[in-house]
Amino acid sequence: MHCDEYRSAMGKVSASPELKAKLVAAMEAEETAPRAKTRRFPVRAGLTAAAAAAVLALAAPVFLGRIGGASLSTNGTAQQYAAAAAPEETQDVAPQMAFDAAPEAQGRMNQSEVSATLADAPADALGNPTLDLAADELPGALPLLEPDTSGLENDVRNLTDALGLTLTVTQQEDSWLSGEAVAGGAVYAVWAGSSGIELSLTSEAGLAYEDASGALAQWSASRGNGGETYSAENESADGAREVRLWTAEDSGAAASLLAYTRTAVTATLAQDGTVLSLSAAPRLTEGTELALRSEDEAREEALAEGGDGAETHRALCYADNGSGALVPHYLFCFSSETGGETSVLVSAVQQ
Amino acid sequence: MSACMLHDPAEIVEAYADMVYRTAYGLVKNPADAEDVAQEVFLSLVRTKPSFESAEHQKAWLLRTTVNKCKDHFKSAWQRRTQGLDESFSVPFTPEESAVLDAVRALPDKYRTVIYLYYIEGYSAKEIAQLLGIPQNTVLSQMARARKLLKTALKGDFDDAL
Repeated sequence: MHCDEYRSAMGKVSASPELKAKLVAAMEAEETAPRAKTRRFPVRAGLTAAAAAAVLALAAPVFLGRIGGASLSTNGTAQQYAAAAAPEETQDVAPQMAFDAAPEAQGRMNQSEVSATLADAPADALGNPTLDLAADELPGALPLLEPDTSGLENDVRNLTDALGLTLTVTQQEDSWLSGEAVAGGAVYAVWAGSSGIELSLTSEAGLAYEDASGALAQWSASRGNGGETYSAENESADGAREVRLWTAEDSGAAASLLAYTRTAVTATLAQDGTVLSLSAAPRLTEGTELALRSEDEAREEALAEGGDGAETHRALCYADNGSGALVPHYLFCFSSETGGETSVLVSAVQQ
Repeated sequence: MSACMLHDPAEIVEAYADMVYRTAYGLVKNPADAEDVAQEVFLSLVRTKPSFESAEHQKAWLLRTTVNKCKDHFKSAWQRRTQGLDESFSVPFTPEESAVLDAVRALPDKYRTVIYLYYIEGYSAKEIAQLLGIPQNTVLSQMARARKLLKTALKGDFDDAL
């Protein structure tokens, strides 16, 4: 098994004694270092919360369009969104741009002065330059080396507020934060760090697939395969989102059950949660798309293909109708026989 | 506070440096970057002084922070614009091990992370989901896709388990 080789290889990787010594020295130095409150580089000060909200409101359709595609990823802060999406608003970020253009004009060091200061500084245990300066003496540009997480959270809040999302920060470290942003039935995983802010749609259809997953697991367990359910998610080119569900195959299950226990059910959801299509395919055959059909149509098709038309399972799932209301749908699966292969047809009927 | 929890830097490093470095190495692909990430993780521990309920909590915090530091590393503009030097690791891997490592390194970052946490750190899908703050089903689907990619790259099953 290749996983054994992977374990064997990674088992050979360990921190060297030299690295461990450096780590201990760095931690001890950090513990004993005076924790002067550093003056922050005003990277975000040039854009007030109000200005950011106004600018982001203009750009919101762009963001929402991208979020509709299930993922929003940026390479910068709210300011960069604003500057890119609404150039006419650049006067709001003018103070920041002025700083970038002439740092010394604001009483701060320019890059060559910073470099010279660092070159003259004594080295710490790791060979990095250290500066023993009080907060007021700290060159203005240096705090960039120590990210301002409160500012980062403000950036994220400016963005989520403008998008109408409610932000909950669950973990915050010195250079990144993660959390959750919620609006209606949509939940976005939030991650923000030095490189930008990322919102990933995690459960707009979560209720749908969690409920369907539970129903499939129950069905699967009743047939003795352990009841485990797996799912996968995809983003399609048109921004719709696919949720796939399938149950695990159990080698101990009777052969006649295999076609059912490996059933994959695919639901394609529109941005508002509307079910666009549902499909099922045995043995995780990807790309198999069956048209949405009624229960009777699916049963008739199963019979026409040589199956007995017996219903193999049904699952209840929910889809957000766009206004936050969850509309229940039934998935029906029927067995059929095509060329000796057992397959499963599915239909979805709004309850 | 658990009696097993470590507070002394030397004890913490001795207990967790291998895990943190190995995790970073498994995710960022080269020893120099892994050392940088390891240093960031331990300095973060000192700076933020998180409150731990147990040794397991402390370990999970270090792992999650390592993964997030690596994520930060992947996303940094510098990292995206530059190619790291092709640094060879001093440990002699067998040709088979090198082939598997190369295949795992070629996986997308998120797949590599779940594969590492599952096979090397021995976490269950549920634990990985809690550790990474993502749904358990997402972990399972990422693992399934990673195994599929590895099976193609290695021309053989990575693991029998589904």
